[in-house]
Amino acid sequence: MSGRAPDGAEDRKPVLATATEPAIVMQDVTAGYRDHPALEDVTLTVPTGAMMAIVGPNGGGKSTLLKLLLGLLAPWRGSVGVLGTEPAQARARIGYVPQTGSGDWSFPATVGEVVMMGRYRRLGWLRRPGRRDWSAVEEALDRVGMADRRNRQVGELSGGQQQRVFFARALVQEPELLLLDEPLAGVDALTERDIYALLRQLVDRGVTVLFTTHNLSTVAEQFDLVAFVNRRIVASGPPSEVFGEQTLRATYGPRMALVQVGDRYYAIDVGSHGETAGVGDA
Amino acid sequence: MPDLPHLLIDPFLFPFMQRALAATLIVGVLCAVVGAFVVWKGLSFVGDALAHASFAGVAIAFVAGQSIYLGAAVAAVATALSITFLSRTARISSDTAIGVLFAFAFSLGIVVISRVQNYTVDLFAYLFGNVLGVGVDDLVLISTAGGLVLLVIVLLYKELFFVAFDPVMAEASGLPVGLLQYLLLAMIGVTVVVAMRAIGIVLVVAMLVTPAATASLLTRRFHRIMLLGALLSALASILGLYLSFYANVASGGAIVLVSTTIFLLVLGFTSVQARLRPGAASSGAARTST
Repeated sequence: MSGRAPDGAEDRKPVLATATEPAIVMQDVTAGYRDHPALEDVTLTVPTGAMMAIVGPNGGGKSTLLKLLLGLLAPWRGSVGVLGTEPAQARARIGYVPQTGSGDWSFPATVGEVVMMGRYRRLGWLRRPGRRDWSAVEEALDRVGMADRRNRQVGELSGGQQQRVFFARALVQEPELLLLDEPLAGVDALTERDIYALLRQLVDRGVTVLFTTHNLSTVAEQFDLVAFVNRRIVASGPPSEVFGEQTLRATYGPRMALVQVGDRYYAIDVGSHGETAGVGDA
Repeated sequence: MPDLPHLLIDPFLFPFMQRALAATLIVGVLCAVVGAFVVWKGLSFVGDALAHASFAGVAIAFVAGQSIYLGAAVAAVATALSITFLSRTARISSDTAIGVLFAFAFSLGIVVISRVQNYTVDLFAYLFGNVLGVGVDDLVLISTAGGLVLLVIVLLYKELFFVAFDPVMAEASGLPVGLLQYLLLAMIGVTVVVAMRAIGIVLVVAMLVTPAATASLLTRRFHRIMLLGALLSALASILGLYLSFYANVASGGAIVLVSTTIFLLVLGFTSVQARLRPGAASSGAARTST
């Protein structure tokens, strides 16, 4: 039952770096807030064009990892390289999809205006969006299935629709690296399926995707690589190699058990009966 | 009895009324445009605080024989920066930082002017506004500073809009979010000083909030809130000026009363409209309080 990779994952070959430089290189990174470290001695390499899941419990340092890659947080020790340069220098080439609920959704802004924000850095100071920018917005909204809602107020959208808007905003940026912070939390199954399909299209075009998630079940199905994080990197590699009860226990604690139902994986807290923890799938 | 065209035109045959009209129009437009941010980012308490804090600068400059505007601007911008700095570094909320700082600065102003009692009548013009006393030099200062703030908002519109909607994303995309937030508060500070002569320190917050709130009842596009707010604000300024001229009442109070009347009329109109067509135009409520 536990510790076995689902069938689909074994067929899929992990994308490996060939001649190109890795998209992300973190070496012995320790970082945190005030005097409390959130990540310790993290060494992680993500090849260009890979789709990697970052899995771990809440407070395990997943968001901290993304902040380091965006240059919003400086490491205490170690080095962080993104797209061959410093994180802050790479920002214009990094797309970022924050957790649902990020942003002031009561603010008067339309769907189109929010998606256009993804073009702002490309435009630079003082320049206004032109026809090409608006057609990029149009195309991105079409790809996330929101073309008919361009002039709607963002405050009127559901959680899943808000996430589609954020996703469209990352698309118009035409990023080389896409970072997603729990983008599926509170999102309906249809949106989840669409987002995975879109991510796969991007990866096929050479975009590197890094995705934090609770949802263990999708990891083996959808990702080339996975890193289990709980303050440290517990394990990383192709899901078929690293997925196992041992890794899971080291990530989530000794009370967790991995249960396979059909082709889905669930982490069960065996200490308190019947409660699933660390799983977003239901 | 004079006819309507004369009633409308006669007041502006006086040069002081022409200056008053120019001053109220500039102030009205500026307050409404800046007010769009004030209303939608819940900054009305900050706006009120900066206005009151500027009184310390007014009083000190008055006693020291320096430019009143410069004194007020320094006090307002210094308070704006201190509020942002305190709420970012110290472990207190921005609300608390505002409460502490603005009461301090206003008290400082009161203590300073209480030493020079014979001049307090002049200072009342700054507290409650006297647009009829605006001189040419006032007008030059008002239009220069006001024009500068409007220019900055036009040039940095998309960045300010981004930061207002989602500061975390804006920072992740590489925008200097902290700097832009300081800038917005500093611009509110300058606006308050520009409006001081026409509207008065005590009433400025009404001009920052009411026209933008009225516009928010009618449109939900941010740039249209600015434009429509500016239009409504200009209308209130002109009507208030007539009221002030013919009824011989304080200009600042008159303009604010007209502005509030327009707000209430629009509120009534949109409420009736929403009731007649349930389901349509439902989300028209603006956030007018902090």
